[in-house]
Amino acid sequence: MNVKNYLCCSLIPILLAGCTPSPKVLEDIQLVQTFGYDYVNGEEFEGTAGSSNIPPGEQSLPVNEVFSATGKTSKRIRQKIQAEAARPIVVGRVGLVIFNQELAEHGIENQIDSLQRNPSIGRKLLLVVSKEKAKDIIDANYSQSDSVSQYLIDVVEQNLEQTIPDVNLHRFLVHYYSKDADPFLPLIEKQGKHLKVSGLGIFKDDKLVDTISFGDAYIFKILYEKFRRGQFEVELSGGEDVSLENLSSKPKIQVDKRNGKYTAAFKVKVNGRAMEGVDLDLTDKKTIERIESAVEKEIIERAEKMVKRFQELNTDPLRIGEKARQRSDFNRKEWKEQYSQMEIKIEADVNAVQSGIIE
Amino acid sequence: MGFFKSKLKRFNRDNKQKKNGNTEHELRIDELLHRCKESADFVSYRYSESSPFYIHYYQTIVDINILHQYVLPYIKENESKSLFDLQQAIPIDNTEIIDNVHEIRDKLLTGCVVIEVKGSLQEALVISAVSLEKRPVSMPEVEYSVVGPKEAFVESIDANINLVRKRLPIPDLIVEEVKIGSLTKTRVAVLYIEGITDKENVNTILQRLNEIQFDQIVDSSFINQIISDNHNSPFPHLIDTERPDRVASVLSEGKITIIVDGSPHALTGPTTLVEFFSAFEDYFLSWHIASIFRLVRLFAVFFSVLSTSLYVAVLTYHYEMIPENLLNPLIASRSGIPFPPILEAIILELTIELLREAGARLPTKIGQTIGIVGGIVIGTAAVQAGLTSNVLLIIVALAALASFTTPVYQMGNTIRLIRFPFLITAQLWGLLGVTFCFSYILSHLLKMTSLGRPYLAPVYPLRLDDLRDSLFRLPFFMQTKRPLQVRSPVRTRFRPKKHEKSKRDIED
Repeated sequence: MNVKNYLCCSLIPILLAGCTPSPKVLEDIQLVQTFGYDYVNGEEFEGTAGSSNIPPGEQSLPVNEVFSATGKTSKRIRQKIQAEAARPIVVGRVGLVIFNQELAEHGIENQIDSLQRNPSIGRKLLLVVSKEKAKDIIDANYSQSDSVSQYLIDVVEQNLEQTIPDVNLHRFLVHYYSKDADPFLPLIEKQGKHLKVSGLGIFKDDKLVDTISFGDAYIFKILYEKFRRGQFEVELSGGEDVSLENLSSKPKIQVDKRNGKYTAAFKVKVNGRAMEGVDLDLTDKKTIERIESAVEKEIIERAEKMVKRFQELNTDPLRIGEKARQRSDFNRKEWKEQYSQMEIKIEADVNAVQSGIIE
Repeated sequence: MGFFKSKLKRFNRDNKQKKNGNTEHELRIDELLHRCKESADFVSYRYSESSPFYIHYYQTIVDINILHQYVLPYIKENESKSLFDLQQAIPIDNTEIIDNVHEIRDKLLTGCVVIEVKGSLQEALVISAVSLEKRPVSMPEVEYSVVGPKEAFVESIDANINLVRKRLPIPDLIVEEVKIGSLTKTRVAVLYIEGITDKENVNTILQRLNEIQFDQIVDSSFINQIISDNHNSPFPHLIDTERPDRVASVLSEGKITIIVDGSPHALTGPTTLVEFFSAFEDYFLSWHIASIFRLVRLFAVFFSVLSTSLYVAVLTYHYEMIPENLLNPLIASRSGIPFPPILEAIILELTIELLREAGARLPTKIGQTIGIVGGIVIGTAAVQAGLTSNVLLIIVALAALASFTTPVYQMGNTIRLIRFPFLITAQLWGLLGVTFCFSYILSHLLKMTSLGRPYLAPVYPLRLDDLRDSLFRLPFFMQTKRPLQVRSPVRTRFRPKKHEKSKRDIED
């Protein structure tokens, strides 16, 4: 075979497959790193793209650049944003999408749909609900030297590890499309020069129906997934504060069906180190037991209250329905009818293993 | 390609015709001598007026001392005697009476003294008195190793065979010699160990050597290129080494060595791709260290070939792949540069190639200065002038460094060459192009053979036993078998005794 044949053969697969990519040189594009959606009225919404311009030089700090536009669809908004940008806008590196609370209450189906259809957007994208306007959060100065987008992403990411349940676009979509679970998203708010994660927003289908506080979000995480790092504070009966550190916990959901009636039970195992008990003798076994029972009580009380609330709203972010579906005698119609009244028990088993280095 | 083939054919035909023309015409001794006398260094005289013997030789290739001490005194004694009597009298073993004029001519040209009796015109006494100009055996320069023997081959084929035979004092070591090149008549020796080496491989080599149609063979690399299995492959087919210890070692593995007169490099084969990445120093170090070094070298190859093209592909097409923390520094270092990544990469790659080429051509002392000053000055200035980015400068410099870790020089050149097709495909089709180019080269390697044996062995075809001395070098007690690739009739090197691993003390 001669050289010409080789070259022809080389080209055939590429031409036939039609997958010749189009070049997008890194510094010639406007990388959008955060995106925000705000409510305008029933039909239109406002989109805000946060990106950064990086001036040349090794020690240069990125300059925040924000574009926003109003429209009926994401594509329309993008078109309008493009009109005022100096370089072509690309969304492949979006790390965070912020939904304004008001918009979330009206439903985010539109926006989610356009996000999940875009092939250049990764599944590890973070989604959050904000109390303020998303535009105000993106177009602001924070007391950090990073770019604004990077700062926002870092704050949320760090919290997902330690204090609130882990959720990204992929997990959101799993809950969203499941018939037996409802999604939830972290709630953020701006406080002075900082951004803060302040709880969880609970969804029913694509609509925000409730928000829960930061403390309850932690209880939610204990019930929702196992994790290894965290901190839990509780007030003992005597009025002293004590905290459990280096917490590791593992939840277990069990759904039973007797005589056509569903019941569910959460069993949570929590291990931790009792620390920072002022005026407490942590070497005393009785004190440790007191702490254990107090933490157990606290977890059960708050969790029961939270689950009750979910039942009242008929939403299932803890995916109890998913667990129930694993049963062979699962009947979705029955389950939907019974969910809001069914009995859900919470059991907690707390084990304070150590009490610091002076033990 | 067809064009070259027809040229080659015509060249061969012309050559044959010339040869035939020479043999047809019957040459006489006086004609031969007459032709030789045109050359200024040809000496032809009679010792004394009364002597019947005429002496002819090229003074530039003959050792005058031999002539003065052992030849001339006996000619004086044997006045008016025959050539046969003279041959008996001269105390030199390498003498012959030859009546074939062509043979006489060849002897004359390789440093012999020819003595004839005036008027006989038929036969002549040929006395070997070759003056051997050679440099002493010195340190290896290309394949330098910190530990281990410091001998390297020299230009003389006899000295080289001597170096090998010293390391393999067995009668089974066979040297077969052929002369190649219609002009240079270069002596080419094929070395192998009888019984260990597959005869088929030896025959393949001898056949290919005998089929060589080229007028001049100056160096072993000529042979390497001419007898290679695939002329269009950028990969070397035989390992080129200047270490006699390496040659002795591969001979005992059942491989074959070609030594060419006038070249300080021997060729060994059949060989595999991984062998090009094993320095012979690996065998002088403990096996853990040697294995790590080999893996480092293999990593260096991949890094060297792929890094620049990946940079171009990612920055041109796949910005999604860049980690978030790397985005800002990358954009900051790129934003002032007026060229697209491909031009930037090509400029830098060419600069490095220029520096390397200039460094190799210049005398050692100037070369080093050029390397250091050029590298630093050009590198820093290029970044400050905004021609290239810092990030790429680091990548290209590392890639160049990595390409120099390859122990066999020819392979290092190949690695630097195949970077460029990767760069071009990366620019055309991004990562798809890189993958495509990679599979293209991989399929080329899969098809490649060295003396008809698979080039990618022991990885493909998979030879589990041979893996012990390929990507890793496992300890010596585990190297019980010769590589399957050489098809040695005696595969086992030695039979390990039981409890080989625990060393015995004298008391046991």
